[in-house]
Amino acid sequence: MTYPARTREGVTILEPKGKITIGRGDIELRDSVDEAIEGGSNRVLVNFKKVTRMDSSGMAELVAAYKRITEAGGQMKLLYLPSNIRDVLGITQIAQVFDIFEDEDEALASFQ
Amino acid sequence: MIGSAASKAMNSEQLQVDINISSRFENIDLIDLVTEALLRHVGMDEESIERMGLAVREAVANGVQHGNKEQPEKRVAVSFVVSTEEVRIQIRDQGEGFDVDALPDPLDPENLFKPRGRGILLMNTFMDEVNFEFKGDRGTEVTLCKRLGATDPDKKKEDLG
Repeated sequence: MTYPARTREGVTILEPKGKITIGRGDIELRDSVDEAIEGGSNRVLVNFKKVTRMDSSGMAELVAAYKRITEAGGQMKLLYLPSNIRDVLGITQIAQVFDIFEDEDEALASFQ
Repeated sequence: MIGSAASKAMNSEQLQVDINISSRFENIDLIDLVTEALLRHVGMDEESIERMGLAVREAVANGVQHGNKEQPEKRVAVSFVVSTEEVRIQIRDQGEGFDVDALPDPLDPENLFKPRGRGILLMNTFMDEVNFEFKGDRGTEVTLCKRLGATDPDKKKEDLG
């Protein structure tokens, strides 16, 4: 299964919901990013608004996805991080890898 | 009232809950539910419930994935003991154990893109005490402890300036 996705201004916006955790959410994240890349889109914005929890497996997939996209010459950014997700991405220092936005228009405008 | 009866009972004795799951990832969600309900029952705030819930999830996921190698016939036993002083959670798998020190330090910039090491970092950050005990044929036992009323480690840092 992959996340619902929409395209705006040439950017694929992934909209995961619920948990990005071991065994399911982490695999959905991987598959969703692969699907975007295979579909020719390497500009990806992940909207975390409806994500309730992320564990270390979800984080491992997030940095792996970032690596795949940047190696393909693209960009991956994050939108609307809930406070608990911001907390764990800060502790693990993953937050410093990403551009993180609180506004979708602003996020889209930042893609080059 | 059930709430006050429970808290009265807790003053004199410990509250203990034991759960035993087969090594399937979907069972980790059950542990999540129990952790959350139990911590809420003893009056923990939402942020602590969230943080401790993730620490427990990481320890159970390690047991299922790295300890028991996802073999469903192998079990992960989780025991919660809550007293007025602390919440103590023991997670025991039936695996061969692993070398904690061999895990990459996830905070080393060189390791930022490596998949492993973050679970233990989260446990150490969110709990007051994390202990791994390797019991040979009897698997690995992780003990997570949170002292009730203890100062939040992040706050401690702020206080120190």
